[in-house]
Amino acid sequence: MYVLASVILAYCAIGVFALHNITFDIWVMFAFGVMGYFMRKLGFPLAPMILGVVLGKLAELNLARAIGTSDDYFLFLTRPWSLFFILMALVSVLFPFYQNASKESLFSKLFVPISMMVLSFPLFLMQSPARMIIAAILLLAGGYFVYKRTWALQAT
Amino acid sequence: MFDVILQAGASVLLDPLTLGLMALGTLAGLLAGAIPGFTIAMGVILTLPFTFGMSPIQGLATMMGVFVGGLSGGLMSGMLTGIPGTPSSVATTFDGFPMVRSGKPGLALGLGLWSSFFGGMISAIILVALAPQLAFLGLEFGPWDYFALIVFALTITVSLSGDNMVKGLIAGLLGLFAACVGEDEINGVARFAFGSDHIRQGFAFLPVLIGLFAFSQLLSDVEDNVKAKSPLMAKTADPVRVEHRKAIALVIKNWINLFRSSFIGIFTGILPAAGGSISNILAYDQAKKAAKNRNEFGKGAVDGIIAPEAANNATAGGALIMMMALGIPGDIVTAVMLGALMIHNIIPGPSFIQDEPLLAYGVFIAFFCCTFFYGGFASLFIKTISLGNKNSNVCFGFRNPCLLCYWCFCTP
Repeated sequence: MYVLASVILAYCAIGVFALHNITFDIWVMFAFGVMGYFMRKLGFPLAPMILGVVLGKLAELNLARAIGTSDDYFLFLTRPWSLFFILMALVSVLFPFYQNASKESLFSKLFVPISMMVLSFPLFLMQSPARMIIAAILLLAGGYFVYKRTWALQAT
Repeated sequence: MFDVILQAGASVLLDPLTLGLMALGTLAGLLAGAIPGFTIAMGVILTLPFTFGMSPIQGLATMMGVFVGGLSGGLMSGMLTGIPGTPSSVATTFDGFPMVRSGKPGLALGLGLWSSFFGGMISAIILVALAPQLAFLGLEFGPWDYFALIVFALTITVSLSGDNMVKGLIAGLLGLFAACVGEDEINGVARFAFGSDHIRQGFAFLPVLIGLFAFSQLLSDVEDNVKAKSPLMAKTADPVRVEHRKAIALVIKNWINLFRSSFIGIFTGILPAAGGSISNILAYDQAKKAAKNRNEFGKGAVDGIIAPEAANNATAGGALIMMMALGIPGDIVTAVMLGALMIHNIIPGPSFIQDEPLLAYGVFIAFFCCTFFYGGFASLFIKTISLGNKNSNVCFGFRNPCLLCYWCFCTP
């Protein structure tokens, strides 16, 4: 393993150098390698960081374009697709809490149906027949589960 | 559309160099997957420098081979020794290892091999059918929507990838910070350059990726004294004869399980950040819930092998759907592929499939083709491993090719 590791390390450095022929790139690799090592040691997940690096430029470009095209910041919330993804982001942020919550709590019972109902809203805004039908199904199913898990239970 | 597919197929399948590269990639992936601690992402990252000199389609086809091979390479070491070769074959060991120990190693390996193969096939078909449709949807996106999509991709990565959300958020923001060093795209204002011309150019994607992933992995591997000195693969007992026919019959007989697991795999692949390491455990749980003979799980149930192996190979197709159609990588491996495309000045996005149909469909066909290669190689490879392990140490077998490619780089 020591031999293998050292060979792969050297090989990584050569591979990095071959791309632009700049030694600075090797330093960048070294610096981020050490950083990654400490992140691993301290229990930070590496996947978000890598995705951040990959998507950072793209996010910045699109943000700049969006703000450059129009002064209206509320377009992020009024355009249907944008609203849909922002709501999805909210749901995904709350997801770990849903996983950790106890099965009996109200939050864990209502999380899925309410997110279904919330997500149906931007689909309605898109005003295409097929998506309106999907949105209606989502809304009705969500409403049904909310009813079944709260009021129906209290009645019995 | 069909003539585009034919043309792309011809460009991949009729070019002996591309075919050879794919075969080589698949073999390398199998080997990388079989070594515990050597993940698929690392295998793909290490192949990346080789692809600089190739045409985009050759480079992508090679990486596709490593991806497909690596996803299932883990099943062999997982079943034979009980130590999963990659995180994506963790659930395979739950039932695979007991089955091998109960004296049916041939059947267990055959089941793993063929359910991987069929899972890959199903996801390849879904990939070809779904990716152009999704890209069509993606054409509706304006910059606002694209930005919101990226925010969603980042938050879901954060919430799925670790136990501690704050640490995940910190990591994600660090990544965004690293990406914004250098000149900004619109106005060319230098940020965090500290007067250095090199930093002004921004960090190149590849050094950051290799450093973060491969370099740090090696550092933490070497640190462990006992593990570092032990041979890379444990020796297996006797030569195994893989029972192909019986395994295929069993996989087809359990087609409900196969399809369910494949769709779980595809769905987890489509979600940004959730890769094979999550899908195989999800599929295993679902198979266990649906099965009638729940008590057999953990003791060598057939369904318990089919489910995780079909799911982890199907994840590849799902992750590729997202990357090809919207330019959002589905997991780390596709993030690397995205980086490879960027090196060739191709930026995937919603219009990618329309602008570069030859390349896009070429990648789809390469995925099909690699799955076939995988089926063939895995059958051969399982035999060689189980025969050769008696007196040879795989550590050395792997070191020499490594040295060889190292020298290749030194000579020019």
